[in-house]
Amino acid sequence: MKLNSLIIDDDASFRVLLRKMVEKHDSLTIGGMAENGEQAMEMLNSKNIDLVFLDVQMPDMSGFDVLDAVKNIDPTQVIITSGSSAHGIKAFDYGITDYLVKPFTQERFEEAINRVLRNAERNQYTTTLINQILGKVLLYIHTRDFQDFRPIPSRESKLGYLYPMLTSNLDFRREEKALDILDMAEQEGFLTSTYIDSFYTCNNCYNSYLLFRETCPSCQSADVESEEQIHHFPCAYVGPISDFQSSSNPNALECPKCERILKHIGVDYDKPSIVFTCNRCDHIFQDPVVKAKCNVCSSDMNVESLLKKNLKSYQLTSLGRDAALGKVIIDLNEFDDMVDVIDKEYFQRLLSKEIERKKEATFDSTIASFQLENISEIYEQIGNQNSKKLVREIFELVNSEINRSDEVVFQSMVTIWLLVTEKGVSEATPVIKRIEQRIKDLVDDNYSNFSLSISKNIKPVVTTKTASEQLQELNATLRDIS
Amino acid sequence: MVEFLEFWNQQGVSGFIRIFWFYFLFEFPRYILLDYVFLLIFKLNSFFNKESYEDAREKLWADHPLITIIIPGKDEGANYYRLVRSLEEQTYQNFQLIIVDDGSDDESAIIGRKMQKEGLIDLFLRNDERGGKASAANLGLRYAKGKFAVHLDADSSFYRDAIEEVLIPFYQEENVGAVGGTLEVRNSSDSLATNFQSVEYLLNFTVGRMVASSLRILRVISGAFGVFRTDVLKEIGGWDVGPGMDGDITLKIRKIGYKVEYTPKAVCLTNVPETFRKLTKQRIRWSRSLVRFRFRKHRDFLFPSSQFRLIDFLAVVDNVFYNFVLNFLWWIYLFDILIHYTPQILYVFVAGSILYTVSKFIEFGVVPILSSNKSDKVRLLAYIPGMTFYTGFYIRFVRTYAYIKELFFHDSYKDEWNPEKTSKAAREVEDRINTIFSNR
Repeated sequence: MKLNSLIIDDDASFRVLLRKMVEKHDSLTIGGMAENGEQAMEMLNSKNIDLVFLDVQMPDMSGFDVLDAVKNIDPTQVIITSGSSAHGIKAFDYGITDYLVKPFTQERFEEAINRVLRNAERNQYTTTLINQILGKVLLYIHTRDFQDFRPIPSRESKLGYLYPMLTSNLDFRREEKALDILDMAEQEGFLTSTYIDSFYTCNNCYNSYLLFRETCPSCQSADVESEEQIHHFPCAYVGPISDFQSSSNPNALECPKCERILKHIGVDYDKPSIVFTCNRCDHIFQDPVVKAKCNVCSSDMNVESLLKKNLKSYQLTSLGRDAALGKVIIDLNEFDDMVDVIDKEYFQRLLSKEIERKKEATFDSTIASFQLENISEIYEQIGNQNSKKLVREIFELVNSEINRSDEVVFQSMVTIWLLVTEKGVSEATPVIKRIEQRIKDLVDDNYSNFSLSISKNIKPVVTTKTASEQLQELNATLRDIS
Repeated sequence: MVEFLEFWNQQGVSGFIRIFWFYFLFEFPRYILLDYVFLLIFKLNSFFNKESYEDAREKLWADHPLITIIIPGKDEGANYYRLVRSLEEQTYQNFQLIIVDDGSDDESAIIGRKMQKEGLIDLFLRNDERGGKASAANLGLRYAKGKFAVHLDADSSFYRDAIEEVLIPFYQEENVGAVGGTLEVRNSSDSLATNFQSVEYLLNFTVGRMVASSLRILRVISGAFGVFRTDVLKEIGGWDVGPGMDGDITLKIRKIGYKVEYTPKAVCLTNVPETFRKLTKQRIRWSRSLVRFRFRKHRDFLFPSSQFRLIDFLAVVDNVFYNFVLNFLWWIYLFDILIHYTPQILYVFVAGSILYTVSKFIEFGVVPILSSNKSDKVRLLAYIPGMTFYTGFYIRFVRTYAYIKELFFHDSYKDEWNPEKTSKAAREVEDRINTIFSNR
């Protein structure tokens, strides 16, 4: 993938310099150069541009004026270039990720480009590529005149099945998305489906090669043995079958209590149950925990919490046929990648802004972090998809508890950052404690036999340190559990 | 009234004894005289052995053995939580708790598994196929790790020191194989039937077993609360097919030369049948097992053999004589009275009631002396007059019926208490014992 880049700068020497850097870069091509705002707007409106290097100070208008005028530009595609860092905060308001202060090093440039690239890749998978792939699939079904688009069993594919044309267009890491794409296509009315079968996949990596075995409920070891119990009716002796096996007569079963030879199951004895023994911890039990170990990522899951997937065959609808022929535009919804919930950088930017604001006016602000210490136990059990749902639920809960000017973001799946603006530590603490309790209640209510432990850290926002320093300090006192 | 007094005046003391010969010959010596003699011996004994008792307690705590509590049962899930709570309150806590679910049809298995997960039960075992209480107890025994095995019923509950107290006799004397605790009625005030049973249990356990234990003729350790040495239990292969498995296992332990003790200090509360109908069913089951185990399975006790010991012989004779022989003799006595005193039958009946009531009061007098919880026993005094009818008539009728049915029809082998398959197998075994004896 190459990004078509537009350089907007009134300084000709800088344009040349930047052009060289772009041309040297493997992932970039030059899509155009503009020396003032007007040219820039024209190019942005006419060309297909993936990346914009935008100068702030230009003779006719500022870079921000350009952004105001061109509505359909994605801020993540924009890198601000400027002689001073003064406009950084304003850039954040536009949601612009990166800000290059002239002159900048090659490393700084690379860093900025890589960020844009990652972003673009993500967007491509979630929308453009998916829509393209589905278009191909619909066309494939239509041209081959398949009445029934069926999955083919395949040892090599991640799910154990592949859909022709569809699976091969996804890299192995994302093969499971085939089912999601087909589901969405069905929701959009392009396809109808017929149930074929169900299967289970790893909660973590969606692989369907799972190894099932019985494990000890006490120590989780798979080194367990089971023995049938024999109940000898005449003397009421009950014990494992090995009690009845003697060395003198290896084929016969002899009662250890009354020394009679067992004759006929159901007549003089039966086998009422099975008892397991753990070779590791000597635990005795009858209800082994059946666990599934993923052959690829080694996650070990309780079978009750495995993800169940339905395998279906699909039939093209008339709308689907139109879509295949390009008469209808294919536009599937995005996948939930939690970009709005888990965003470290966003919080850091936010905090920088708060620090700048604080320099100009006198007020107190507070930052806090919650670490959900043992929540990964739940994540392991409920799997990736449900973990995301849970994180989103917690996120929405916290959001409903705070003021509109406050902000909450997940730093990772286990750590939450909170910014309480215009409140000092003592004022913010009750709010933070209430939120802590609400999170705990939410999790504990939903998962019986589980008690969430949360550690938290509360600090005032200071102007003497940078945002990243303060965030580091905020996290420093938390236990390292990742 | 005048005629009544005149009649008895005429009879005099000798006539009175003649008419109530059954009482003076059998019941007075056994239930009044013997009780008080042995109460005296028991009290003196425990007075002089106070040190040995305290020593034994210290030895128990010094040894502090792991014990296994085995609770077999069917459809008892509803009782598990209450039971576990009762056990959590015990002064002696070094125990492994095994609950065996004998093919319950209700939610017992779900409750049990859940409690095992929560760590409230150490081991919950379930037989999907019902096998009878003995087989369930044996399954628990198979996985018992403790030095002693406590056998409890799921619907019992215990005084806080019950487990500790019931273990002490093992440290008081050598060679004790099993110890039985005291059973008292928990639902005492529920109905007339339960009140009568309360009195009966108190007389039977606090007094009867104390006497039997002093005499060394204790013949049954109640399944609701008994402790066994695990190695001894394993030696005899655990329990045999019931009903009557409690008495049976006690006999077997005696047979291989161990002592069987009783302690009035360890108290267990149990629910008894609330209606006479249910009570009758229960007593028929109990009575049948006497015939089955004395006369069929363990008849060797009645005959001199290599294992013969006088004390075992006496234990069985006491049991057979007082519960079985006298039960039939009483009908002859009834006949005697009916024939010889036909016109005065009412006088005899009234006087008899008075005699038996007084006798029961005297007999019951021992209870508060021995019992730890005296105040609530007083309430039961009101039911003593009624006991004449309860034990004098009701229990006798039930027993007679059960004995005859069992002797001639082998009823116990059809008992629903056991699955048919085990009853059938057990009968074949006992038939073979019969054949061996008749061939001698």
